[in-house]
Amino acid sequence: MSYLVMECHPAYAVVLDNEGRYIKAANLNYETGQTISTIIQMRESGKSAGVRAKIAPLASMAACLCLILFCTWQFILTPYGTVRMQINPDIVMSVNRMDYVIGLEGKNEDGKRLLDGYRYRHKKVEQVADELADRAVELAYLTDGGDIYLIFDSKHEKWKLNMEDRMLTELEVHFQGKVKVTVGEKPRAASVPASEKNTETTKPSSQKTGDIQTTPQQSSENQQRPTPQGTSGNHNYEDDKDEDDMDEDDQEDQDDDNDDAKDELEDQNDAEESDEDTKSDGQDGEFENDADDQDDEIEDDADNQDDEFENDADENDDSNDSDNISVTENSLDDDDDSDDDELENDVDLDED
Amino acid sequence: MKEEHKISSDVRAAQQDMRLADELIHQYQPFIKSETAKFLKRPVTEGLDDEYGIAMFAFYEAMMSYRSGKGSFLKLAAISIRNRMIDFYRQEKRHMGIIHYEQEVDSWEKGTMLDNLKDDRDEIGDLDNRLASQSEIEEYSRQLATFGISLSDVADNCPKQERTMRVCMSVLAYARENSSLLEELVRTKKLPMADLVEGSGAERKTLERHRQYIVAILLAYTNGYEIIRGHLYQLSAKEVDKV
Repeated sequence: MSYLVMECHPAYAVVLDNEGRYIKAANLNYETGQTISTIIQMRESGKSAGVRAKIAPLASMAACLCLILFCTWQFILTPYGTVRMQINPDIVMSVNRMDYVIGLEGKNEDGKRLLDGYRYRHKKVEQVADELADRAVELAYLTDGGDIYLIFDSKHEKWKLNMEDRMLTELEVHFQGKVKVTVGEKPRAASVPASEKNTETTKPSSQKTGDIQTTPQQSSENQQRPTPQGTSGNHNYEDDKDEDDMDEDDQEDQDDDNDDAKDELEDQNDAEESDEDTKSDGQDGEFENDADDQDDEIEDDADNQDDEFENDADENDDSNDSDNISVTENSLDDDDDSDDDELENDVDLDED
Repeated sequence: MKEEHKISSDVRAAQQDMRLADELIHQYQPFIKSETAKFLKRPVTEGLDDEYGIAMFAFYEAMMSYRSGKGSFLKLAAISIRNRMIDFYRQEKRHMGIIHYEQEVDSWEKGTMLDNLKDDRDEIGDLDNRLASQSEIEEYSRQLATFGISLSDVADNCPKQERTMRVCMSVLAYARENSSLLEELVRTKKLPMADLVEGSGAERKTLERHRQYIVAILLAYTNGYEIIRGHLYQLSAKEVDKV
């Protein structure tokens, strides 16, 4: 680029470049008509510079504000990890970097029901977990001796480990040990072999947690793990409660039937075991098998006697008590009379 | 305080009038020399030291950007001069160690380096060309003055943004194709705005905003300014469109 000096002043010169621009530059002893290759151009001044001087700070402030908002959004609203809580309801809590819950999702029908109407904003994950667990108790999803399963998911291992410790401690302290809290996925409902029969947490949760008050529909849902279906937004917990109360009586009968079924199953398993045992070699095995058979027979007899006793008791309760009593009284009287007669006869014989 | 007030009013007046600006610079030459000498740590030789020209240029910039009520003008001028000196020093640092042509030769030969160096250039031819350019540019300035415009005004009014420059070049290209418009410009001493807007497709607002520049550039393409057009001669019709 070359510049033609058009006008010279003491402090500056006006030059014309090849592209038709007129520029004010420093006058380094130039002369009009001189062609030069480099210039020291004047910095902007006047109105345009004034306007730009006002706009530039505003623009930089706006840019800083956008940056701050973006960082805040990243910090607060971006999920840092998730906590999945499985009782019978299955819910997932999205947690941000500051351990505040930023999202809640019900993974099954019960989960959605549990979350219906619940507000989680501005609450920490421990508080939400406590409140949801209390809600589960209120709605009879969780009882004393029930189980809560927690699953943590995050790219940050430290956070996961830290959250596991905190949540375990929080829930155990909150329930004072009445509810068992486990880290890991809730086991799926399956048939329980007799050898593994256990009152601890290894039992299928659908059978264990809240099994006193779960409805047949709920237990079947848990066993099959259906995908959550859409539910209406307006749902009345009180109606559910009434339905649950009405179903309690039916549930007791159902439980009795379940117990009977269990016993039958155990018997079948015993029979299978004994068959297997007889096939094995060794006297010790046979001796043990015989001992086991005797024990089983004794247990069966005891169970049968218990059942008979219960049935008799039920029959007595159901029938007209007074008639029975009178019959027995009469029979007792007759016996007494006969005994007395015999005694008298004996006395008579002795006297003779 | 009174002196400060007087300086502020003088600076405000110089911002509006080019002639007053030159007078104020002339008035404060001792101040400018003093500031330059402080930076260089030696006396300043007028006409020889580029730093002196830079300092005067910086003083002029401070004068144009000064706003009364924002402090002392002389302090602003001193800071502006110092900053410009530093920038110039950094720019010229790579040329340190170069001997000046006007430096006297330390040998038995008399005169300066320039006198003793061989020069194949046609100094007389260059001088003739320069004198011709000067006379043409002076005529050009006189013609502009009839429009009430000075070259300083044209420099201030010149578009800074590329897209605005492209619009102005499109107006120039249209005017070159329709020489009657250029003749009308010289005859009436007025810019045929309506025809230019309609023909070039540019916005009237843009043309109004850069009126003085458009007059100057159209005038350069009227008769009698071959040297100026020769300097712009690289701009063919296609390149005008590109710019």
